[in-house]
Amino acid sequence: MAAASLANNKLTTHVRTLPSDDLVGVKQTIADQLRKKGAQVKIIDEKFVLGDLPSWRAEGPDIARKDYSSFRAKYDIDKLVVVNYYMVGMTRSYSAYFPTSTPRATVSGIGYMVNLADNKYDWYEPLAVSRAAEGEWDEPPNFPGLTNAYFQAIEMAKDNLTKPFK
Amino acid sequence: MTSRKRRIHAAGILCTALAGSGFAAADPADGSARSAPLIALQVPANAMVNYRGAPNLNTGVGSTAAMLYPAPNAAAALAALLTHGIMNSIGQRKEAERAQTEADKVLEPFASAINFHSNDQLYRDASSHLNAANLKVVASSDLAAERWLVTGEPVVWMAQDKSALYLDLPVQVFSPGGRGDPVYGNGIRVVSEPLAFDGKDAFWSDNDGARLKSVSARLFAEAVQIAVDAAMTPYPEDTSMHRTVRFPQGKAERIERSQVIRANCERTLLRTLRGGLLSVPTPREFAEALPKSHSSCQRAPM
Repeated sequence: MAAASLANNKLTTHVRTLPSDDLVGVKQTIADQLRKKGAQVKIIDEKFVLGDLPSWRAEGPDIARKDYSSFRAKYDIDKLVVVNYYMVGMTRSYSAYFPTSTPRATVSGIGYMVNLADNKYDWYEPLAVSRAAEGEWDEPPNFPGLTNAYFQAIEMAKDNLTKPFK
Repeated sequence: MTSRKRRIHAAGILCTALAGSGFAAADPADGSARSAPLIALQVPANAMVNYRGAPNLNTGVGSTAAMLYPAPNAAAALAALLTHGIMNSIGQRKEAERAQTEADKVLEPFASAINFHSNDQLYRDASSHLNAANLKVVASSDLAAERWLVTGEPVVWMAQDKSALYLDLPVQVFSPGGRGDPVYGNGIRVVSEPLAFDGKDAFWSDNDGARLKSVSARLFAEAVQIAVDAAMTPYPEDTSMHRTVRFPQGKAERIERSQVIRANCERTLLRTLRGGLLSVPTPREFAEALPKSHSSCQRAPM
């Protein structure tokens, strides 16, 4: 792990300068799409920790494990759409001390819609987007190929999350 | 600035404004006679046009196979590590070569046309899309010392779904009489306009590959025009203006983080993060944002 971190130090430094604002805008895009379909939408800025929610009383297909019912009363809503990003950046596979792939731009996360009447998922979309640089990747200090792949991955992630609402 | 340089600069500005209509001239500021830049295109030494299949670079994420070399001591362990590293590098290189070989198979139905498409023919066909009066195709740089010289060997790529071509031109431009260092050098890529591809190989192969050759010539002409424009009037570079641009490439959509240099109803010119120039069909969002006077422009059929 330490060897991998050291070997990719320059890339790590560069990636930390890249913006990810476009992913924040996904919330607004989904809201706009839902409004076009006639839904009344509230954008919730509150962040919550999934682990802090109580467990749901039942298990079964398409049933969320956590109890989201508290959102129903708090915001006066029927359904809750959640977009959660686990990671935005670069990944690289290693075998022992040696890389087995070039670095790849990666966006991972999940999007889902919970029906608050029965705690079932109306929509569930795991997000795992990965893009390689076109051509050479190792071009410090600005790594243009990987940077381009980074923004491509962000666009693809946005598409995956918003397409079901179009 | 000398009067000669001022004339060239004035001609370059009008070249940019009239991009797509061939090399043009402007009245120079010092009142001297109007003169259009004389251009020579040097045909590459390689006789045939280089066609390649565009590989898909995003099909795998690499192997995470464990190292399998038992090592009884530190020296052996180090040797095992180095071997493992070398094997991994060789493996990745072989994988890239294999991917390109596989991608080139998309061209097999068109081999009879491609194998006899010479660079000389490509250059001469491209000349018809440029101002032929100012253009001369030459085999050697010695034959056009009084002209601006454009050199570079194009590569034509076919998308795997066969719905688009794009052309790469690593170009150098030399000033008249100056055959030492180029005054301009860059990588230029031109993506074809959306084509009415019907999914059949005959779209490209009919009439001895006439459409394949004509589209390639149009792309090459566009690349040459861009190179000459850029050599005469360098495009400003502003990294603060980078944005993510989506554009059509055949039936697919491509995404490029870039700086928009110019856009009209047909084509948009981008500067990529590597500093190369990328000419693409104008995205719909750009076309809709153009002034109403542009909206009646018709895309030139390819």
